Amino acid sequence: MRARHLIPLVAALALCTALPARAELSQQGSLIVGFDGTLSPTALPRTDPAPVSVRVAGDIKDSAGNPDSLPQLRRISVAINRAGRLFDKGIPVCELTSIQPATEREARERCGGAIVGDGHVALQVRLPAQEPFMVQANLIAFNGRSQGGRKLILAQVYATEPPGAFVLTFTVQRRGGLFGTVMSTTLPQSAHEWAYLTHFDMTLHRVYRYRGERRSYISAACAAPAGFPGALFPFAKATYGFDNGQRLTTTVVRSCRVRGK
Amino acid sequence: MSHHKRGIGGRRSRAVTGLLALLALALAPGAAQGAEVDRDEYVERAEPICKTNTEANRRIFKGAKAEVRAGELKKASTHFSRAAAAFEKTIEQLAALPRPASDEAKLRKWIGYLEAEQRYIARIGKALAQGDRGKAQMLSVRLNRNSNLANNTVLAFGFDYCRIDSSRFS
Repeated sequence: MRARHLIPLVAALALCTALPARAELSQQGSLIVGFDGTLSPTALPRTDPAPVSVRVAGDIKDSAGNPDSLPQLRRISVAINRAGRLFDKGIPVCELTSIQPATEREARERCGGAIVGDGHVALQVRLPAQEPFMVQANLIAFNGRSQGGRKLILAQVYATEPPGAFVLTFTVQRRGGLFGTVMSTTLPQSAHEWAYLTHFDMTLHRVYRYRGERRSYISAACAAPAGFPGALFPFAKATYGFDNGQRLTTTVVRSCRVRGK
Repeated sequence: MSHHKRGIGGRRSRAVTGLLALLALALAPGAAQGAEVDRDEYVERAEPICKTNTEANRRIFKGAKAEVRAGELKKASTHFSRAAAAFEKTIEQLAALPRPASDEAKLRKWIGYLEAEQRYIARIGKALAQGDRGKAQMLSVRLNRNSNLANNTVLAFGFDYCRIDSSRFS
């Protein structure tokens, strides 16, 4: 879906104060996707990046409210505004084999030092000869080993009732343009037969010490124009790809306040 | 004298006829608000109107961000005033489109949000012209919130150009 718009608010985006988080929605046929993003804290220095936590969340639903007819979400791409920077030097790396197969507890024991975030997933399980049922699962994000120069985030999705797990491998790319950090993942082949995601949320946050200095996995500044006490900016953009070929994109606009001068 | 009277009478008569014709147009079934259209037809008619506005705004807002960043607020304010004027015309055109009866309430609400959008744009322009950065910021937050409400109201329409997506221009 092309993302055009009616009223360009180019300069308005260079303005503003606190904006309550609200999921932005997009619809194609009967498929509705929501995307929400939160930056915390919202009061940040104007130029020097400070530690932040970034929460992204998505919901997938049918306009009739029937999850049984939802297509399968196969690909998620979340692009964060270039003002946000990732730094993982000094954070231990977790290997995929350490957390898959593993329970949540085992994964924490084996890769606790590599945790960079957490979250939740809700999915509908569709198995042959069974009624579909909903499952809630926890998500733990681990710092993965870089591949081909790209950072990885290994997100273990683990449900206790019934027990089950899979890992979403997010590839983190740096790109030019407005959305400088892009995290993408595809549903693992093993989950294609049964997992239909209806919700996900992931909060990335890790403050640690590296070579005697306090560092943060994610940092951001509030790049408001001089004299303006805050800024309104396109915070993140999510693209969802489904097994039936549908592709929906949603952008969230958020704000920050300048801390200090 | 009689010629003058006829003249006045003639103008009055033409004016009355014109007024009646307008009233007849406004009240006639099948006129703007009354014609039977479905949602797809409405979208088909609305999208070119929004597209024209989108393209106009691309031109109108060229350089605005740089001006705000450079502190040239008065200069930047003119972009908003021009955009508000252009958007007012767009809303008039959208409001005149025949609406599907089943979507009447939804579209009335949407037009209401668009009108609020237009007022916010104009007010941001005024605030910038006065150098009131705080007010401009506060209004831009409200504008963004209003944009989301507008979009969510007509989510099911699957609009493209008529969907407000401010990030496209940042």
